[in-house]
Amino acid sequence: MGSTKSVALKYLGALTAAGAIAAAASMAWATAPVAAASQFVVGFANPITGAEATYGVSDQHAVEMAAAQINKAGGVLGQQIKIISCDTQATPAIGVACANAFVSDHVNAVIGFFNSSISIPASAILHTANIPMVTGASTNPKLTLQGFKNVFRLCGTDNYQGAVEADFAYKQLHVKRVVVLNDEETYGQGVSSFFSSTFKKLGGTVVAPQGINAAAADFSSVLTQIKGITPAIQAIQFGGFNPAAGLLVKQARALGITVPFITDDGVIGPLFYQTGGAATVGSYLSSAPSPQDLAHVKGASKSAQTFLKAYVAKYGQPTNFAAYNYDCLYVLASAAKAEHGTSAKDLIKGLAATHKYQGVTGIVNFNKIGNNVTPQYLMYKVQSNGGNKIFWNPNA
Amino acid sequence: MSPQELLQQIVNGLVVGSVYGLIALGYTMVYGIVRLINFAQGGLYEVGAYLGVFIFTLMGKFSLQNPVLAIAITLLASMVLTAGLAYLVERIAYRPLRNAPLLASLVSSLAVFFLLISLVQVITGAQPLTYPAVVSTTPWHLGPVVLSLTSVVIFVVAVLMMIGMQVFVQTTKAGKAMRAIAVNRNAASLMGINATRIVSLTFVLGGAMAAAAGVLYGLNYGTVTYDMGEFGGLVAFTAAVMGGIGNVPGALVGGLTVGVISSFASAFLPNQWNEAIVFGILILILALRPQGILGERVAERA
Repeated sequence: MGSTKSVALKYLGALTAAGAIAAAASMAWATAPVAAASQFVVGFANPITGAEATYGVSDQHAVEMAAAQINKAGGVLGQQIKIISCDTQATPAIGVACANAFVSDHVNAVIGFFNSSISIPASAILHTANIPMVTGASTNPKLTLQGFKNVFRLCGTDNYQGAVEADFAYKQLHVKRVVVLNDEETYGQGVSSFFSSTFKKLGGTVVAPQGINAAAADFSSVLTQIKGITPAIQAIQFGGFNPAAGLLVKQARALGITVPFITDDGVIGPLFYQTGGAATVGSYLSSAPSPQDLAHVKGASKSAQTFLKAYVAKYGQPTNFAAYNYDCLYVLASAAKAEHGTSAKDLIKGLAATHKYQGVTGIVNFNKIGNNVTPQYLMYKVQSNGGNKIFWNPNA
Repeated sequence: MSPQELLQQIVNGLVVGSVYGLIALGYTMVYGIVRLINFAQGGLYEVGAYLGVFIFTLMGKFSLQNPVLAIAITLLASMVLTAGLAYLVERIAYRPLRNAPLLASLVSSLAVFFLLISLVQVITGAQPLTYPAVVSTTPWHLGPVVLSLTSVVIFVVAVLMMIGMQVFVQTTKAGKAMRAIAVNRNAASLMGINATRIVSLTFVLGGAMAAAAGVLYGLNYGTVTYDMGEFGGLVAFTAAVMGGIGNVPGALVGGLTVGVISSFASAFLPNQWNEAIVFGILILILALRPQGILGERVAERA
C-alpha cells in the first residue's frame, strides 16, 4: 500500500512534466509557419488563458492594433509585420517553451512575456539566440541586470513601484507598522521586498513579512495571526496578483481587520473587485497610469487619447499594460527604420539608441541596461462601483 | 497566542478542513472497496464547483430569491450531475481495467484528473469565475470568534454527510454489499452480489461528495479557478491517508486534522512553511501509525 502511494506521487510529477511538454509541442506546431523574407515577424508571448488572461488578451489586442496600423502605413521598411502569438498560461515552463518556439521560427524580435518569472528565464534563451526582446509588462529589476544586450523594458520596475507604495504609506497614510505579504512569485516578492526596504529606510516597521500560498485560497489563519499582533498593525501591503489579492482583502474584512490594504498593478483591474467584492473598496493600488489616465503623465502625448479611442472602439476598455505593449511594437519599428535594417544586430543597435521617442505612454529613453527611464507610478483608490481613481500622484 | 486567537485558528482550520474532509470521503470510499486511489476525485471536485456557478446563475435568471432553497437546489443538482460524471468515468476509465493490475487503474485515474481540469479550462476560458453572492457574507461575532453563515453550513454539511455515509455503509443492504466486496470481491459475487453495480455506486457516491465540497467551497470563498482541483485534490488525498484511508469517519477526521494543523502552522511560522509542516506531520503519523489516525475499518481485511 505504501509503495502504491509513492508511485502515485511520482506519476503525478511525471505527468505534470509531460503535460508541459505536450503543451509546448502543440504550441510549436501551431506556430510552425516559417518566416517569409518579406515579413517582419514578431513573436508575442503573454498569458492568453489562465488567471492572468485579462491582461494578456488586452496586450495582444494592443499589439495587433499597432501591427495593423503600421502595416497599413507601409510596414517596416516595406515588410509587413506578422505577429506570432504564444500563450504562456502564466506558467514558466510553458513560457520558456514559447521562447524556444520563437527561436526555431526565426522571429525578428519578441514582445513579452508579461510575468517576470517567465521573462527572466526566457530572456536567457533569446540572448543565446541573439533575438531582441522588448517587454511592456515585466517589472522585476533582475530582468535587465543580467547583462543581456538584447533585452529592453518599456514599463517601470518593481523597486520604483515598491518605493512609491512605501512613500505613500508613510507620508500620505501616516502609517508606521505594516504587515508585508507576497504570493511567492518573482513579481510579488519583488514589489514587497522593495516596499519593505524603502519603508524601513523612511523609519517605518515591517511586521511579519511572509509568502502566502495563492493556490490555497484560504488565508484566514495568516490573517487571524495578523489580527492578533500587538501593537496593532496599521496597514497590509500585498505583492502579487488576482484572485489572491481579492480573496485576501475579503477574508481580512470578514475577520474584522479594517486597516488600509495597499497592493500593486498586478492586481489592478476588474477581477480584483469581482473576487473581493465590496471589501476591495478603499484599497490603494500602485500602478503605471492606465491608458485612460495617461494625460496625467509628464510627456504623454495627445496620441494617448487617439490610442484609447481606437482601442475602445475595437475591443472595449484596455487593461493597464496595453498601451506599453502597443508602444513596444512601435519602438521596434522605429529602431528598424533608424538602422535601415531588420536584422537582430540592427534592431538591438536601434533600440539601444532610442532617444526621446514619443510613444503613447510618454517619452521612451532606454538607459545602458535597457530600462526605460521615463515610466511613472501613481496610487489609485478603488471606488464604491469597483472602478479605480487616481488618489495620489508622486510627481504632481 | 491569546485564547481568542487560538479559538479563531481552530475555527478557521475546521472550516477549510471540512472541505478537504468531504473530498477525502470519496477517496476513502473508493479505496476501501476497490483499493484504488482515485485521483479523478480532485477533478470531480472542481467540476462540481463550476457546475455550482452555472446552476446558481441559471437560478438567478429564473429569479429564485430564497437563499436556502437556492443553495439546496444547487448543491443537489451539482451532486447529481457530478455523480453522473463519476459514473461515466468509472464506466469508461476503470471498468475496462478491472482485471488489469491496479497500477493501470491508478494511471487511468491520473489521466481522468488532468482531462477534467483541462476540460474546465477549455470550456470556461480559464478565467476565475465568481459565485453570485446569494448568502450574506456578513461576519457573525460569536464572543471572540468571527464566523460566517457559509462557514457554519460547510462544517454542518460535512459532518452530516460523513454520518450519512457511515450509516449507509453500516446499515443498508448496499452498504453491506460494499463491505462484502471489500473483503473479497469474488466470494461476494458468488454469493449473488452484483459487484459491478456496487462498485459503480461507490464511485457515484464519491463524485457526489466531491461536488458537495466544490459547491460549498465556492459559496464560502466566492471564487473558483480552473486549477483549484490540483491543490484541493492533493490535500484531500493527504487528509484521507492521515485519517486512515478506507475509513469513513477517518476521512473527515483527517480533513479536519489537516485543516487545523495548517491553521496553527501559519500562526507560528511564516505561511510558506505550511505545506512542509502538514506533510511533515503526515510522515510522523504514518511512521507511528501506518494505518492512519483511525485505521482501516470499511474493509477489515485479513
